[in-house]
Amino acid sequence: MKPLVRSAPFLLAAALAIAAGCAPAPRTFDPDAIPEAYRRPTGALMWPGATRAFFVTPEGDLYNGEWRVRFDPSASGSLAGPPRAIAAEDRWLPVLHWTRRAGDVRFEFEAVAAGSPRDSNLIVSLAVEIVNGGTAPVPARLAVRLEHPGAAPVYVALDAPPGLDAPLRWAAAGSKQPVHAWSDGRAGGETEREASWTLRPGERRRIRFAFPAYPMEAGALGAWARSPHANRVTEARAYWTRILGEGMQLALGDPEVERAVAAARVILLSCCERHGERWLPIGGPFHYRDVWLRDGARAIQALALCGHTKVARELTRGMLAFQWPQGAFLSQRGQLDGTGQALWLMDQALMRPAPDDSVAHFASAALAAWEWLARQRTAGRETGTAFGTMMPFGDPNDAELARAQLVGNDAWALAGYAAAARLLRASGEIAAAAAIEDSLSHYRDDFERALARTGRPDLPPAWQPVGRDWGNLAAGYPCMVLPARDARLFALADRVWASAGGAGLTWYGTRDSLHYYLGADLGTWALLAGRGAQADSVLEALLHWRTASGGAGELFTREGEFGVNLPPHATSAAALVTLVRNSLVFDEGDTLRLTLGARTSWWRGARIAHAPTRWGKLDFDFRQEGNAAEWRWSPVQAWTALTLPPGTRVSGRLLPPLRAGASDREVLAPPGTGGARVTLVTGNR
Amino acid sequence: MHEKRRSARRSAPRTRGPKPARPARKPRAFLLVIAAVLLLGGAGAGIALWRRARPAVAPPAAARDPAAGMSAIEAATMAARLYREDRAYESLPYYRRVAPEMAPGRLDFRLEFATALEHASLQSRIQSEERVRLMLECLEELARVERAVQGPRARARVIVARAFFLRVWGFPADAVAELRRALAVDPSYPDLSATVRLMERRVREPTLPVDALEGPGLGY
Repeated sequence: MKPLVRSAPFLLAAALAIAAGCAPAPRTFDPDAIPEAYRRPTGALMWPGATRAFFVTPEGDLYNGEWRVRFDPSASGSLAGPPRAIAAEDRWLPVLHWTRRAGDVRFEFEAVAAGSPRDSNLIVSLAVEIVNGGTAPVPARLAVRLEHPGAAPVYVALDAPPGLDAPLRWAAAGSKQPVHAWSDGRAGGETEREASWTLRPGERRRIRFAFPAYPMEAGALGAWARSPHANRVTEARAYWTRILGEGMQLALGDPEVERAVAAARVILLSCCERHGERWLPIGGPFHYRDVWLRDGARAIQALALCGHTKVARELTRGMLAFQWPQGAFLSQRGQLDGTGQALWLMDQALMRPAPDDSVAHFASAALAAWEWLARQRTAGRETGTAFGTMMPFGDPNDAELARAQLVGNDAWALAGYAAAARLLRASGEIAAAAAIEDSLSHYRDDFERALARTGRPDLPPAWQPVGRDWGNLAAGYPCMVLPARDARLFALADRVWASAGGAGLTWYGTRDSLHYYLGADLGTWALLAGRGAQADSVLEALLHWRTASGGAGELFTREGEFGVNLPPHATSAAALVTLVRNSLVFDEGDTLRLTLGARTSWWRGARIAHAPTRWGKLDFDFRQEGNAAEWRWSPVQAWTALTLPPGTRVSGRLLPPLRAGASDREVLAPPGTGGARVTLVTGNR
Repeated sequence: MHEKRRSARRSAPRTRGPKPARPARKPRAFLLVIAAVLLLGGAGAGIALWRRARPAVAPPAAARDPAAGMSAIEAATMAARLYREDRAYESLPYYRRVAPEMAPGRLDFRLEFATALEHASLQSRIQSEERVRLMLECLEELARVERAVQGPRARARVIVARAFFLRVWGFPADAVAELRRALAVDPSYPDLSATVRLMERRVREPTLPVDALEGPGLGY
C-alpha cells in the first residue's frame, strides 16, 4: 500500500525512534524536567514474568515488599533531599532516573531492571553518579543500607517469609549464604555499604549496585554484575524497543500520546507473571500483585488491541485456571462479573487479527460458562421476583460495594453471551452459536424490561436501590448492551460527569477521590455516541494523570495524593491504550470505524501500522490538507466508517463509492475500499 | 482515607476467628456457626465472625513437602493440630499425606479435609490463582466422597457442605440448587427445609439486613 501521507515515513521513523529507545543519553537526561502529576514521585522497576518488582519510593529508596534499600546521600554533612521526579527516558522507556541534591552536590541515580532467564527473579542494576556542581571542593558521602520495612510497610510481598526479619546481607568475598545486594567493592558491614570522597568542582564519581528481588547466591549475583551497568541499560533499551516494535505502531505527530501509549504497553507487559508454564495478568507490580478477572480482562484486551497477540493469548490460556466446575469464572469471592469478563477477554484475544488455532479449545470452556450463566437466569426466573431474570446477587466487597443484584454483572454477562457465540461460530459449532445468539436476544429484552422497571432514566449500579457506580459504567462500552445513542447511556454519562465537574475522570467513594480508569469506558462510548469533545476530555485527563515514568494510579485525590494505592496500575494503562486505539481504529460490530476520535493535531498526517482488527492487520494513513481529508487503509471485507476532522463536515456531494454516514461528520466506504478523499467545510450543522 | 478506600477496593480475605475445641467426630457447635454463616449471608455474616489476617504466612514457593517421610498417623496428628490452631493452609500438606491412605468414603476425614481446603482458600496470603486452585481441589474432594459414601444422610451432608462453600465464595444460586438437591436426597435432614427457604429468601431479597434472616442451624 502506498502511504498517503508524504511525511508519514518520517513520522513512522520518528515513532520507531521513540520506540527504539533513542532517548537522550543518560547524562543529558534531566528527570526533573519530566512532568509528574502526583504529589509524590514514585517509580517501578519491573520485568515481564517476574513475580516481584522494586518500588522506587518517594524518598528515593528501593523496596520490594520484603526489604528496603535505603540510600543516604549527603554532602558537607547535610543529607540530600528526596527526588523531585523519578522519570523514565522519554517518559516511557523503563530506565529510571532521579536526582537528589545536597547543596551543590547532585546524586544522579540511574536504575534498570532485567529479568532472570531461569526463574521469576529480577535484578536491578543501579548506578549513582555523584557530581560537584559548585565552585569549591565538597566532602560527599553515600551510605546504602539494607533494612526491614518496619512496622507499617506500604505493602508486603505475598511470598515474603513470615515476620519479615530474615537476615539481610551484602555480597562479600566468600559469602556462603544467599545475599540481597552487591556493590562494586565499597566498604561496610553486613547490611551497609558506604563511600565518601572530597569532590573538586566539576568532579564526578560513580558507584554501581545490583539488587535482586529475591536473595541470590553471592557468586551468581557477582557474575551478573560483571556486565557493566551501561551494558545492562543498553540491553534494556534494546529489549523494550524490540518488544514494542512487534506490536502496533503509532505515528501521530503527537509525541506525548505516542509515549503515553508506549509507557502503558511497558506496564501491561511488565504486569504479567509467569507461574511455570502459565502466564497471568496482575493488577499492579506492588500491592495489587494478584489476579482479578475484571482487571486481567482489560489488560488482555489492551495487549490484543495493540498487537501483542501472543502475550494476550498466553494470558488468556492462564485465565482458564479461574473456571469452576459448574462453568463459572471467578477470581475473587462474590465478583460474579468474572464469567462475562472471561468470555469477553477470550473473544478479544483470540479473534484478532484472525481466529487462533486453539479457539475450539476455548469455545468448549465458553460453552460451559454460558450454560452456567443461563442456569442462573433460569433459577432466578423461578423466583418470580421483579428482577428474577437478571443475575443473582453478588457481594463483591469492592466496586459497587453492596450485596445486591448488580447491573454490571448483567452487562458483562450479556457481553459474555455475544463473545461466546462468536467463539463457537469461529470454531465451527454453528448450532451452539445460534442457540446462544437466540438466548442473547431474550436476555437483552429482559435487560431492557428490567431497566424500565427501575423507573430511572439511566442505568443504576444495582437492580436494588443501593451501590456505587461501577459495572454499569461499562454497559455502553465495552459491553455494548444498548445502542450507543440510547437515552439511558446519555443520562448515565451526564449524571456521572456532572457530579465530577465535567467529562474527564470520574470519582469513586467520595467526590475528592478521582478514579483513573472507572470512567474511561465513557470515553469510548462518547466516541460512538458522537460526543467527540467529551471523549477528548477523557483522553486529556488520562494523559495528565501520569507519573514521570508514564504510569498512572488508580485512586487519588484531586491534589494527586494516592496514599498507599501505589502507581502504576495495569488497568489504568489498559484504559489509556484502549481509548487511544479506539479513537483511531474501532472494530467492534460489523463496521470498521476509523478516526473516530482523531485529534486536530493528528490530522497533520498520521500513520498506524500493524493494528490487529477483526478483519486482519490494518495499515492506515490519514491527513487533512486544506479543505480535504484523506484516508488510505488496508481494504477489509466490511463497511468502513470514516469520521471527519473535529469541527468539519462534508462539503458538497460525496464521490462514489462513498456514502453519507449516520451524521454529517461521518462517511461510509463499502467493503474492499482502500482510500477516500472528502471535501470539507468548517463547522457542524 | 486512602487506606480505607483501598481496603474497600480489594479487601483481603480474612482468617476465621478462634473456634472452640472440636470434638472428635461431630463438631456440632462449630457446624452451627457455619450454618449461621450460610444462612445469614456468607461474607456478610462472615465479616462479623472472622478476624483480620495475620502478616504473611505463605511459605516460599519452592518449600519442600513438610509431610514427606511422616507416617500417616504423624501427619494426621499434625493436620488436626494445625487445623484447630486456625492454620488451615499449613495443615494441607499433612491432610494430603493422609488422604491416599483413608477410605474414599471416610466421611469425617473427607469433610474435614475439604473444610481445611476451603478455609485455606480464604485465610492465607496467597494469590487468587492459588485460592481458586484450593477451592477446585476442595470441590473435587467433595465430588469424590459423594460418589463413595453410602446412604442418603451421608450424601446429603456432602452436598450441604458444597452448598456452604459455594455460598461463601459468592454463588448463591448454585448454593440453593445444592441445598435443594440435598433435600431431595435426604428429605429428613434436620432443619434443611427451613434452611432452603431462608436461602431462597436471601436470593429474592438480597439487600435485607443480615439479622432479618434468622433460622435454625444446620450441620453437615
